[in-house]
Amino acid sequence: MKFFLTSMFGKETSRGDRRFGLDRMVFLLSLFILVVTVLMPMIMIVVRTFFKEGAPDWEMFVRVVLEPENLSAVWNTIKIGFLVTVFGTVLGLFYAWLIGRSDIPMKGFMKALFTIPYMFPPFFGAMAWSLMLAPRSGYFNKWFMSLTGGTTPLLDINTVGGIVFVETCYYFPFVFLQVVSALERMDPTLEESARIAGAGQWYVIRKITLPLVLPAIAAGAMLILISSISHFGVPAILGFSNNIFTLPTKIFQLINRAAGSFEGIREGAALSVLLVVVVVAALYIQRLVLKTGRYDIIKGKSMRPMLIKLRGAKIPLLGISLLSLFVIVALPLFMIFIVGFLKAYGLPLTLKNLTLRNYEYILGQSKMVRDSIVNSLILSVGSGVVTMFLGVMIAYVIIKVRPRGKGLLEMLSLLPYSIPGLVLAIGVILVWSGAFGVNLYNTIWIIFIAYIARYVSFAMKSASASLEQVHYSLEEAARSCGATHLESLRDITIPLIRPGMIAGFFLIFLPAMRELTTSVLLYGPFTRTLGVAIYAINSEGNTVQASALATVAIGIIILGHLVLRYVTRERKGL
Amino acid sequence: MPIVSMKDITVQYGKNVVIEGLSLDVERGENLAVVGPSSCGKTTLMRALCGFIKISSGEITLNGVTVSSASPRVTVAPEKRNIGVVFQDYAVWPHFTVFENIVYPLRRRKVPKNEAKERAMAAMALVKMAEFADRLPSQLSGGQQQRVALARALVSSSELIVLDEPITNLDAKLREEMAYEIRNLQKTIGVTVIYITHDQETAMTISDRMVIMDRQGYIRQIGAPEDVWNNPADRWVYSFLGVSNFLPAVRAGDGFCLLTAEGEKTPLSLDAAPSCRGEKLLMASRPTTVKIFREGEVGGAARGVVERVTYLGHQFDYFINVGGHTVRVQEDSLEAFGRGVPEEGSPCGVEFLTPALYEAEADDPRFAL
Repeated sequence: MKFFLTSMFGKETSRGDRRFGLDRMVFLLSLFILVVTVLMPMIMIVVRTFFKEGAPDWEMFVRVVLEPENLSAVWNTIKIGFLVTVFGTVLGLFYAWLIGRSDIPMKGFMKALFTIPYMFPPFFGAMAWSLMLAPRSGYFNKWFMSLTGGTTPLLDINTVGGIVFVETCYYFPFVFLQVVSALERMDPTLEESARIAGAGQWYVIRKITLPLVLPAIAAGAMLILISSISHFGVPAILGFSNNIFTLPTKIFQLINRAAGSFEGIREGAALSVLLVVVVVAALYIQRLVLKTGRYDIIKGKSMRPMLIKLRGAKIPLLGISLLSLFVIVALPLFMIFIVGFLKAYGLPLTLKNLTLRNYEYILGQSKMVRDSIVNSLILSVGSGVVTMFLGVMIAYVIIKVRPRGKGLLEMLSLLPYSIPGLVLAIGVILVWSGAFGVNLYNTIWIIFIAYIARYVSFAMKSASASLEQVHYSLEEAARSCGATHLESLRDITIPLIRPGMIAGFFLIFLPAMRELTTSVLLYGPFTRTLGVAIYAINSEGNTVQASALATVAIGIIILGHLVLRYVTRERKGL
Repeated sequence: MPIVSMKDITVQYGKNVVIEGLSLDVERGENLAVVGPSSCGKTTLMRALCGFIKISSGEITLNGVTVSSASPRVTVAPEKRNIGVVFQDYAVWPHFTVFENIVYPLRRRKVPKNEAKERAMAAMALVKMAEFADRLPSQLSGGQQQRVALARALVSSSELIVLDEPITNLDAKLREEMAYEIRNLQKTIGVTVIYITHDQETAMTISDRMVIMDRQGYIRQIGAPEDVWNNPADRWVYSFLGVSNFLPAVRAGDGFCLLTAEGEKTPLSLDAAPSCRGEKLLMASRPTTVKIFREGEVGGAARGVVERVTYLGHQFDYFINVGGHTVRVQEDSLEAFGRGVPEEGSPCGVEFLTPALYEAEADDPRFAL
C-alpha cells in the first residue's frame, strides 16, 4: 500500500521525471475506473459468497458446491473443456502445418475461411447444428430417417458430444492462428540444417519443428480451454433440453430460477467462485507449460520456409481440408440463412416454402426485436468508444508515464481477460443493484458498465501496441518546439495512434454486437440485446424468426469487419 | 554572461546516479561538443538541459534565468525554454509533411501565418530541402530527415540548439558532409550549438570547444580541439581520443628510461622533458607520431623488432616489439614504399616524436619487476 500512496501523491517516479497535473490525473482516473468496474465486482462476489449479513458464512458455499447437480456441472465443464481442447488443438495443428509448411494449394482462401469462426458467436453454430442434427426435427436426421425408414436419428447434437463438436468448430482457430504465425516466423535454417545433417522429414517434424512451436501450441490450447470452461451459449442451446449442465449454464439457471432473489444470487456467486477457481487452475497449468519452453529463435520477421512436398497426398488432403472447412464454416451459416426464409420450421427446404415474413416480423412488427437491435448498437458503439479511450489512457500511463503502481494498473486491466463473462455479470449485479446506493439493475447502464469491464483488456492491448510504436522523442520534440504537454498529445501522439484507436474500437464493437453471455444475466424488460433477443426467440421455439434475426446480426458483423479491414489497411507515412 | 550555465548538477534515475556534481558553462555563439563514450550521461545531460528530466541537485540557468534547480525546486517546462533540439532518431513527425514539421514550432509560438511561412521556407532553403516541402518523412532518406530535424530546431530557437548524436546513423560520406554543413550553418547564423556525440573525430572537426566526459559522467577536460588533442589532460583522455601506445618508463636522473618486460632499463632520449610527477610513468604516443628506422638506417631512441606488417592502402600498420612491449606504428604508404617496406622479423629503430608522460597507476603490473 505504501508504494501506492507515494505514487498517488508522490514524489519521484521510476523514470526520475515527474510530470504533474495531466499525467497524474490520467493515472488516478484510469485506476479509479478499473477499481470500480473490474475489481469491485470480483471483491463483491467473494464477499457475498463467504459473508452473510456481515458474518462469515462458509456453510452456504460448501452446501452449493457439494450439491450433486452442481458437482455434475463441474464434471461436465471439465470434461467438455478437456475434450474441446484436445480436439481443437489437434485440428488447429493439422491445418497450421498444412498451411504453414506444406505445398497445399489455395492457402489464401483457406486462411480467409479460418477467420470466419472468429467473427461469429459459437451459439449461432449451436443453433445451426441444432437445425441440422436435433434428434427428431433436425433436417439431416429427418432425411436420414426417411431414407432408412427407421426412427433412430443419424446423430444427436443435444449431447455432450454435440457440445464438444460445436465448440471445437469455433475454438480451433486459437491454436491454428498461434501456430501458423509461429511457423511463419521460425527461422527455416533450423529445419534445413537438420535435413542437411541427415534427418528425415518426419524426424525433423517431431524433433525440431514441434518442440519449437510448443509454446505457441500451449498458448493456443490454454486459450481454448479457458474459453470453453467459461462458455455459455453452446451448452445453453444444446444442453438444456437434455438436462446437460455446465458451470456457466448452471449459474444462469440458478439466477434465473431465483428470479432475482438475494439467496439465488448468492448461490450463483458461490458457483462463480468455483468457476473462477477452475479457470485460475487452467491458467496456472498454462504458466507451468509455458515456462518450460521459451525460444528466441523464433524471429519477428517473416521468412520463406522450406515447404514440404505432399506429392500424391496433395489432392486427397486438399479435398479433406476443403470439405471439413465447408462443414465447419459454411454449412452452419448457410443453414441459418436459409431457415430464416422458411415459412415454418420443419418444412422441406424448397422454393415454395420460402418467405420474407420472418424479416417483416422481426424488423417491423416486433418492438422487442427492434429495441434489441437499437440497444445493441447503442451499447456496442458507446462501450466501444468509452472503452477504447479508457484503453488508450491506461496504455499511455503504462507505456509513457510509467509511474509506480503501473503494475497494478496493468494487472487490473488484464484481469477481465480471464474472468468468465457470466461471473463478471454477477459481480456487476452485486455492485450496481443498490449495494453502494446506486441501483442500475434493469437499466441499460448496468450492461454498459459490464461491457467496459469485459472489453477493457482488448482496448488496452490494442492501444499499447500502437503507443509502443510512438517513440518518446516524438513527443519531446513537440515539447521543445513550444507545445505544452496537452498540445503535444493532441498534435503528435493521438494522430499517430489514431488507426490503432479505430481498430481498438472495432475490436470492442464487433464482439459487443453479438454478445450474449454477460447481457443474458443483466438484461431487463426493455434492455434486451441482440444476442439475448436471438437466444430468447430461439428458446421459445420460434426457430425461423431466430434464424432471420441471426442473419441480420451476421450482416451487421460482416459489415463491421469490412469497415475494420478498410480502416486498418496499410497506410503510407505511418 | 554564458548562455547556459550548469552549476554542480546531479541527475539520477531512481537510485542510479548518472551525472554527479557537473558544472559547465556554454558561451554565447560558440559551438560546443560534448564527447564521451556511449552511456556516459551525455544524453541525460541534454535531457536535463531541455527540461525532460529533473535534476536532484544543483542549478541550470539559461540566459541568466534559472530553469532547473533542486532547491528551491524549479523546473521550467521544456516548451518554455526555447531550445531547438535535434534528436538522435531525428524525431521527425511521420504524419506531417516536411513543411508542416518545420513550421510547427512557429505555429505553437503563435507567429503570424505569413511570417511563419516565410521563416519556415527560409529554414528549408538553408538546409537545402525547399524542393521537398510537401513530402512525408517516409519518402525521405535518413540524411534528408536529419536536415528536416535541423531546420525545425533552427526555426524553434535562434539562440541555442542541442544536437544529440545527429549524424551517427548516416553513412561515412554523408556524415562528413553533414558535419561540415552544421559547422557552416552555425558560423553563418551565429546560433549557439551544443553538439553531443561519442565520435571524437566529428567533434574535433565541428567544434570550437570540446568537453570530454568519462564513463562515470565526470568531465575530464574542456578545451579547443587542438589543445585537447595536443595536451590531453590525462591518460584516459589520451586513449579516448584515438589509438595509443603506452610504454612503462621510469625516471633516471634528469632523463627517462624505458622499462622492458624483463625489467631492464633502456635510456630514452626525449627532445623536451615533459613535466610530470611521480616515479612510475607511462609514455604515451600515437601510431602516426612514431618513426621507424629500417635495418641499416641510422636513428631511433630505442631498438625493436618488426612483428607484423599490414597494408591498409593509404598506410602501413606495423606492430613493433620494443623491449617486450608491442608498439603500434603507422606509416604513410608513399614513404614506406620509398624507404622500403620492412620485413616481418627484421630489427628496426624507433623514435617517439611527441611523446607525453602520464603518471601510472600505483598497482600497474608492468612495474612489478
